Formats: sequence, C-alpha cells, structure tokens
Amino acid sequence: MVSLESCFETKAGDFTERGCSLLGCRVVVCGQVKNVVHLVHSPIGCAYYSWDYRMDTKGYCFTTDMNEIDIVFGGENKLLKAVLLAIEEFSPDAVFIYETCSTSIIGDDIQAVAKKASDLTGIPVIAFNCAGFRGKSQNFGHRIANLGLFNIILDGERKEMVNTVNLIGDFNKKDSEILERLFGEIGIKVICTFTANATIDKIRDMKNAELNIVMCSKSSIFLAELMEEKYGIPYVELNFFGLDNCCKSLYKISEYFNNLNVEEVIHENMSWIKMKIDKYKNILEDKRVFICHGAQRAIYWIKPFEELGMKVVGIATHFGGEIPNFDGLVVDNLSSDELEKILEKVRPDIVVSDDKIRHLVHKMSIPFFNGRGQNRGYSGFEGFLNFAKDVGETLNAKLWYLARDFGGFNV
Amino acid sequence: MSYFDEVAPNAKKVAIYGKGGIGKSTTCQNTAAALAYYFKKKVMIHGCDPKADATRMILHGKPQETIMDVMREEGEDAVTLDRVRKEGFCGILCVESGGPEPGVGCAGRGVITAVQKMVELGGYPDDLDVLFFDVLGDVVCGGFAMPLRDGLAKEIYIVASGEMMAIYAANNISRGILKYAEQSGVRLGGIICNSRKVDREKELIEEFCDALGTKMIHFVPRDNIVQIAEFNKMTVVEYDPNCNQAQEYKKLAKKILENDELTIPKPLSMDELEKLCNKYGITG
Repeated sequence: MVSLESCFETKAGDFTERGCSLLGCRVVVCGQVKNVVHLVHSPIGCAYYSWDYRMDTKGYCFTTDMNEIDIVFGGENKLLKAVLLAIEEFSPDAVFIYETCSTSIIGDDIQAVAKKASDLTGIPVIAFNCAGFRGKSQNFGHRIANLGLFNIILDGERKEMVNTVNLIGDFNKKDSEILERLFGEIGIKVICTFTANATIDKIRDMKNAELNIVMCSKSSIFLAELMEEKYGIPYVELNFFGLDNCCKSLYKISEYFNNLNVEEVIHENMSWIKMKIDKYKNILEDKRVFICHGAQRAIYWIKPFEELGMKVVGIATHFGGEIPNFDGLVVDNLSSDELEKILEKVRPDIVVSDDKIRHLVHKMSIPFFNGRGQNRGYSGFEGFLNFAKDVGETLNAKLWYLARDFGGFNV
Repeated sequence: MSYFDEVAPNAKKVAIYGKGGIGKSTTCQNTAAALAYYFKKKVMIHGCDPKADATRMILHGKPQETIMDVMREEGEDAVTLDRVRKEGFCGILCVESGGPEPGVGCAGRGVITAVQKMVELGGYPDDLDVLFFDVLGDVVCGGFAMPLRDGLAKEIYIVASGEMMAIYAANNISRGILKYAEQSGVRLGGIICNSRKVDREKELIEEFCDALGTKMIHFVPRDNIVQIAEFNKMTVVEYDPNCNQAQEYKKLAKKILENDELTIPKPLSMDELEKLCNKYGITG
C-alpha cells in the first residue's frame, strides 16, 4: 500500500493559505478533465469548490445540495439520482463524485453508488473519498485524485506507442498547448497532459506512453510512481520554465529516445528569442522578486527570473519542501499577516503568486504577477517570451506609482 | 441557565437511558402511565429512537407519524403538532422523533433536529408535570447526548440489570452525564433495576450505585404480565391496575416524583468495573 501522506502538518497558530482535500482533488487535479460532470456530494456551501476559478475548466459541476433531512436519512439515493440525471442530461464521458466532510461523517458509501451507477449506465463513474478533514492539507486531495484517475488508466491493455510521452502535473491548458507544439517539433507525441488537456480517452491511453514527464511533482508524482510500478514506464521530473531549463529538459528527453531533432529545434528557437528577450532585460535588470507558490513552482521560477536579470530575494511555500541552491529567505506555510510583515521588510519590486494573496499585495501597492499564466502559457521558448512581456508590463504599469502616491504601501 | 429552561418550566424533565433491549421503553411507558393514572399528573413522552417504538403501548399500537418522516416526505412546514403529537392513555402526550433506516444517514443528527423542531413548535406544553425523553441505548455521539447536553432533561434515570453489559453501558452513560453536568446542570437521578433474575442482582446494582454515587431508585421485579399487557398493546397499569406489577410501577413513579437526591455521578474505571463484576461471579 502506497502512503497517501505528504507535506507537513499545519500547526497551531498557522493562518494557513492551504486548502482542503476537496479543493486539491476537485479543483486542482480533476477540474480540468474535459467532458466530465463533477458532482460534489455536499450541502450547498461546499459548492464554493464547484466554482471554476481556473481559466481552462469548462466542465459542469453540481452538488447534491444535502439538507438537514438528507443528512439524517442518508444521501445515497439522492446521489444516485443525481448521477443518473447528470448522465441523461449531459451524456458525459464520465461522472466524478466527490465526498465532503458531512457526507463522509454520516457514512454515505459513494464508492457503492459509483459502481451501481456505472453498472446501470455503462459510463465510468469514479468516486473520490476526499472529505475535507482528511489529510493535512489539499495535498492529500491531490493524491486521492491521482489514485482515482489511475483507475481509468487501468482500464484496458497496454499497447506501447513509439516516441510518446505524457506530461504529468501540468494544469494550465495554455502551457500544455505550447509544450505539445514544441514536442511535436522535436518528434515526440504527447498522449495526454495530465490534466490540462485531459479527456477520459486520453487518460485511458496514458499507459501506452514510453516516458512520463512530471512537471509539478507535489501534486502528481504519485501517478507517475503508480504507472512505473504497474507498467514499468519510467518518469523524469523536468521543468520548461526559462530558456536554460527548457534546453536542459529537451536534452534530457533526448536521452530516452532515438533520432530526435533536439539540437535543431533549440538552435532555431534560441536564435530569435535571445534578441527579443534582451529588449525586456533593460527594464527588468536588478529588480527584486518575491515568490509565493507551492515549493515546486517556486523552484522552477528562480532560474527564469535570473535569465531576465532579476534577483529572487525570498520564497514562501505552502506545503514545505526544500529549495536547493538558494541562499535567500525561505518560509513555509505562512499566514497573510506574516506575509505582510515580510513584504514590508523585504520590499520586493514584484511579487509572484496566485490569486489567493493578490489583494494583500495590491493593497501594499507592490506590483503583483500571477505566476499561473492565466492568460497565456509561460512554458517553453515562446512561453518565456510571454513571461518576459507580462513581467515587464506588470512591473512598469503606471498604476503602482499612482497607488504609492495616494498613500498605499509606504515606499 | 439554558435556553431550554423555558420549555415546560414546571415539569420534571427526565431522560431514560440504558443498554439496548434492557426495557427502557417498557419502564418509561409504565412509569408514565402510573404517574398519569394514580397521581393524575400531566405527562408527555418524547421517543428519541429511530425505531419509533417508545409510545406504542400508550397509544394502543396506533401508528404514529414521526417528526422526521413528515419532514422528509412533506417538508419542514408540514410538521404540525396535530400530526406528530398524539394523546394516549390517561391523556399522556406522545411524540416520536423517528429517523433513518438502520445503517444509513445520521440518527444522532435526527435526535437534534426533531427536538429542535418540537421546541420551535411549542410542542412541550407549559402545564406539563413530567416530561420523559426515551433515548436510544447509549450516549454514542453528540446527537444522542443532546437531551442531556443542552439542559433539556435535568434528571437522568438509567435502566440496568444485573448483567455485565448493562452495567458497562450504565457506567458509560454516567460518563456522558459527568461530561455535561457542569455545563447543563444535568444530574443522575438513579438507576432503575429492571430485573433479569440474575443471582444477587439487587446487591450488585446497589454496590454499583454506591460506587457511582447514586442510588438504586427501584427494583422492578420480572413478571410475565408485562409481556401479556404488551401483547395487548397496553401498559400493565392500564391492563390491570390492581396487579402487583402495576403497584411496583406506582412505587417507582412515586419515588421519581419525590426524588430530590440528584447527583453528579463518579463513573468507575475499567478495572473497578471488572473487579465488581468478578466479585459477583459474572465474568467467571
């Protein structure tokens, strides 16, 4: 039995930025799978997590709206009805059922409901036991999601396909589009990006790949491990943010395959991109960056900023993990209050994070940059140009100077 | 002071707990009948067991709609006192909470929901003399502790017998009472021994009560007439008010009415319990 635990315990006094298992499972990992109905078995409040705050999630999400009477009498029948209705109304490729705190406590057997619904309709119905109180943070939910989706992979026999990979742990469709194009250029086909462009069929075909490339290991290395154990597919952790990282990663891939035109592709891309990047370097040179992300993304961002001539002065992570080769300030699992104090002290020129802390940073009149690439992808060569552009534009928006003049953050 | 103090302010508010199958409902209904019949008291029974069998003999087997069933089938607004509160033998008012089928949902939450609904409807009249809560078995979770947790019931009577498991359960329930004694003012009124004709039963219960810091309020002997009356969907008090067993319930009713020795129990440790049981040769 593989352990489902990772990440450090949340301690008393932490006013943490972490989410719960339902968030990790439903939103982070499963949310992007296309043509699936997501059914959160919960009172209406947990439907907060049925909001698709990520740009690329276009799925349908519903809750079973468990009220007091349903809690007393049990919600299995209601859930089954909801699954059948969802299948009838939307003819999805699959239905995902998520348990929540309340329905888990009263012991609703969502696995049994999933099996029954699947037997009745012939459509895969997958149940995730991701009650919010399980695990130490949303990280547990990632693992539950990996384990659940692995069931789809297990369906059918493996037929190995030459020159194919899976991208695991990329949850941004724009990134995955760039990377799929880039891989196409070097002669490799991406079977599935887990889960940025995933569909049920693509996930099922994942077992045919020759190599798994893991991007965000915190959330989904577990899946790569499961696949290695079951099918012997090797995996490698790579990073495509920044020119240097991107080139290194491409070389690394070429070690696993024969006759890839990696050299040519790198040469071709580098020839045009260097010139364009230099334009931004002038305005970005020596600016100080503060990163607030899960550890993985924080590690990945250090190098690209250096390539733009910027310096990362501090990193705040959510789930722990070591930051290798970094001598700046590193803090883990910090509260908004702590973050504010640190930012006051460090006074970075720009903060990179996701939307959770956006407003805090805005109020301090510090330029804020969403590192998730909500509008365009930042992976690969063309992604790096997008990145340089967006960082440059953010940093030099006149807004920040106006805000400071009006007495925002006292610089 | 609790928000529930305004509920039936002049009544003796009593909850009956005890191991499953020990005879809680039988004892509760017979005592209620005795209070109403011999002492002319205005009595009400609220059954908090999902099986909804706490008022059967008072109502002569009439099927009673439960609060939770009405809520589930017709919505919260459909619950009215006319529908869920029935009058039985000697004007005893009867209410059943109801709850889920075995093995699904959350019966504990059902207890809370039903009691809250009754309070909301003003279902416990102001002129009640005695209000009984007949609660399922043990205090297994927050829901089943509800009547004693929030100060709704002020006196707890535990039905037990000379069997080890009944004593274990009684000890466990005492732990629940102890936990909420300060917060809600709930007290243990005593232990009702519903005899199983076990050897030296009375002595064992008395010694257990001593250790617990309470008293055996009454020893109810075993008598087949209880079963016969039950078969006729009646309490013994109604079936044959002059029989010996009816007189026993009359005594119990009187003792409960006059009981002023309400204590905070001192539950026994596992070791002490086992020693006690060994002494009476139950485990050997």
